[in-house]
Amino acid sequence: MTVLPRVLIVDRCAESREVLRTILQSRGAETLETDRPERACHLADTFRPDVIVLDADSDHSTAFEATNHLREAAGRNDTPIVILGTLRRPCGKLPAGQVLVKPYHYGTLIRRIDDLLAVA
Amino acid sequence: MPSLFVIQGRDQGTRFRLENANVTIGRGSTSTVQLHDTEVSREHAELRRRGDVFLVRDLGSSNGTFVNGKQIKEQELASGDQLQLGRTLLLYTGVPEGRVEDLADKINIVPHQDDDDGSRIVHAMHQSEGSEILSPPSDETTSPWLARARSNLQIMYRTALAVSHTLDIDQLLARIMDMIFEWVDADRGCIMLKDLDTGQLVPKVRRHRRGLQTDERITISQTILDYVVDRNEGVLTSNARDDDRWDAAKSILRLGVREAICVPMQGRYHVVGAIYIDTSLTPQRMLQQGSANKFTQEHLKLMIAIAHQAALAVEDTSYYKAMVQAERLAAVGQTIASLSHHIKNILQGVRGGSYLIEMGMKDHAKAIADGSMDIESAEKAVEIMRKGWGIVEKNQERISTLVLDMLTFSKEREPVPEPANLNELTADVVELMKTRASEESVELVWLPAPTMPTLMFDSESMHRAILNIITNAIDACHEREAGRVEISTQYSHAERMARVQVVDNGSGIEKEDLERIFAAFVSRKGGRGTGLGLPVSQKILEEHGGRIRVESKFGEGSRFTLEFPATMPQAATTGDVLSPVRGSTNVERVSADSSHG
Repeated sequence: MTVLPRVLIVDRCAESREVLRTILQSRGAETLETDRPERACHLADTFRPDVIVLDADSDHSTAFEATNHLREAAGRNDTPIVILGTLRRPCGKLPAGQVLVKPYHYGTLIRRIDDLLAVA
Repeated sequence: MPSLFVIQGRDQGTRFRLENANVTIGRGSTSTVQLHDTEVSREHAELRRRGDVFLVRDLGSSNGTFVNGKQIKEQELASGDQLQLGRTLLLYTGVPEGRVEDLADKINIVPHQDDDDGSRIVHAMHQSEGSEILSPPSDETTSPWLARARSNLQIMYRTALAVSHTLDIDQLLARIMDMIFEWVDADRGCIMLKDLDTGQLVPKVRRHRRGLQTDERITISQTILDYVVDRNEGVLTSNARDDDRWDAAKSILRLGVREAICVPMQGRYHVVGAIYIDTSLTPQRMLQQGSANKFTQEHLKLMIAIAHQAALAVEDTSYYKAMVQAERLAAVGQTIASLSHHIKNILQGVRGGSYLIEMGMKDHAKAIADGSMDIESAEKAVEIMRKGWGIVEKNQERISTLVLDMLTFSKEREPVPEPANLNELTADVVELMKTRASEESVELVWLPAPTMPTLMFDSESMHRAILNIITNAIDACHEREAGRVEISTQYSHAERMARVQVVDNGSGIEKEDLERIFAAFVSRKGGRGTGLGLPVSQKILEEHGGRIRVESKFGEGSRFTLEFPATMPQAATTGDVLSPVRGSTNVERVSADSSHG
């Protein structure tokens, strides 16, 4: 039985989640999604996704903290992460190409996810 | 927080918040406070926090560091101090000193009946009569000296009043010049201000006595100007032969005498400019008055005093303009940032929708090309395209809303009242919002007033105002399990008021946020909000002579009441036209479920 690659989508915007879910599912991936980074840590630890796509474009301080926690969780589980948006505050060094600045092209995002899934 | 505010120089209008204990000031890019001023050294000065105060220390700069016009090596700064580095002048604002005393406990304002000290009004005088203290007394025996002093004092009083009423420097200078000509018998005059970049005096306003030839150039000696500005002294000059300080000019017998007064405009710490007036005495006039002098030392003193007053006003106006400029720049920056953020999100949505449409078309084309097209794959491709198109349309609506809100907010416009029914209008908005409420799983409850007369209002803009408020209410229920928005209308014949009330059980608004919700570009909805909806709605209600009232409890929900004076159409003023409520009952429920059916 083929194990489907699993992608966790963390985005406050339902529309963006819908677009990414549709694209990834049509490419044969399984998606998990949440609108809050606070909930995403639990999902990341429990379901061990192959890639996390995180929208970090939020001014909210709790969202910022939660984003950092999610990044730590991803690090613990050795899960690659793609961050969407602008990081307004310093949050440590990020590997090159890990951040896609908004407005990004979905083609670029999908290629990035494909690359990470190929390595995982 | 302590700050340095640039009031002069290339960085004028910039405010530097002094967040760190050590702050470096200089031209270099590593400086905490970087000044774009070629006369500032790379590492010019530093500020060190000591408790609540900052010490400024010069770091061996080429041109020195000045506090309130005095060169310093090190000095403690006090709030209001002016720091000069190169051509840049900064205003220091420190932390407020101590606790502000509540004087309400120290001063009692009591009702008249409680006033037990038996005071009564002995004399009363209108405010305008206050200035008459400077008017000449009716007593003719007053000494000439006292009369002159009183007259000068009145001039100063009127100068102070005149210069305090304008925020336009050119207008201010013109007014000062007019006053000088009113009080001093001069032929010509001009005011020069120091150019901030070059330090040179630049003429700003010129006047001449009525009836005098206007095209004659005023020639002012640079030597005199330098003397006045450098020594900070006013001078009275004459080209008569007995005045040997300046080059004596033409023959007094042939051309008469030209006298001039030139005074520095001394501000709080610097000379900001100079005022020059002159007059010519013809030989005939000299013979008539028996003297070769028209200007006296008294005139000189008066001009110095006026120039000082004018300089203070020029400084205040400049600082105020810098402050306004800073506020304006900050507002423009905030507006651009906010709009960019919102447009970016819309663009992201459009890209997402477009990508799905393209994906569906590619899948469809590929299936046809390789002959694998069946009903299921065709439906799948169409479903993806439909989803993408829905997202594109939604974002097209968002950009349209944004543009309309921006137009409404930016334009001063008069509402165009027309006979309309508030029940019907609100019902239209509720109908329009059904899909959105359904998507967010929010129950929409519509409770129209049993009777609603036809009223005069701008139905288009009122539609927009109500739409914005209902949109916000639905968005506020985003995180609620059982979100509910109740919309009702009311008409009070007694108060002659019409109301639309929108009540939600959403997240509510924190007390400290309540004051800011009507400020433009302040949104609590993250990427979903433009921060224009509420200000636009408020503007529309205000245009109708109404207002929006807000009651909210954080975590429990909010109540927004839009109310405006009910104006009847001319024909209906004697008997209100009462419209029946749309639908068979007075209560219409539009729930999330019903919207699917």
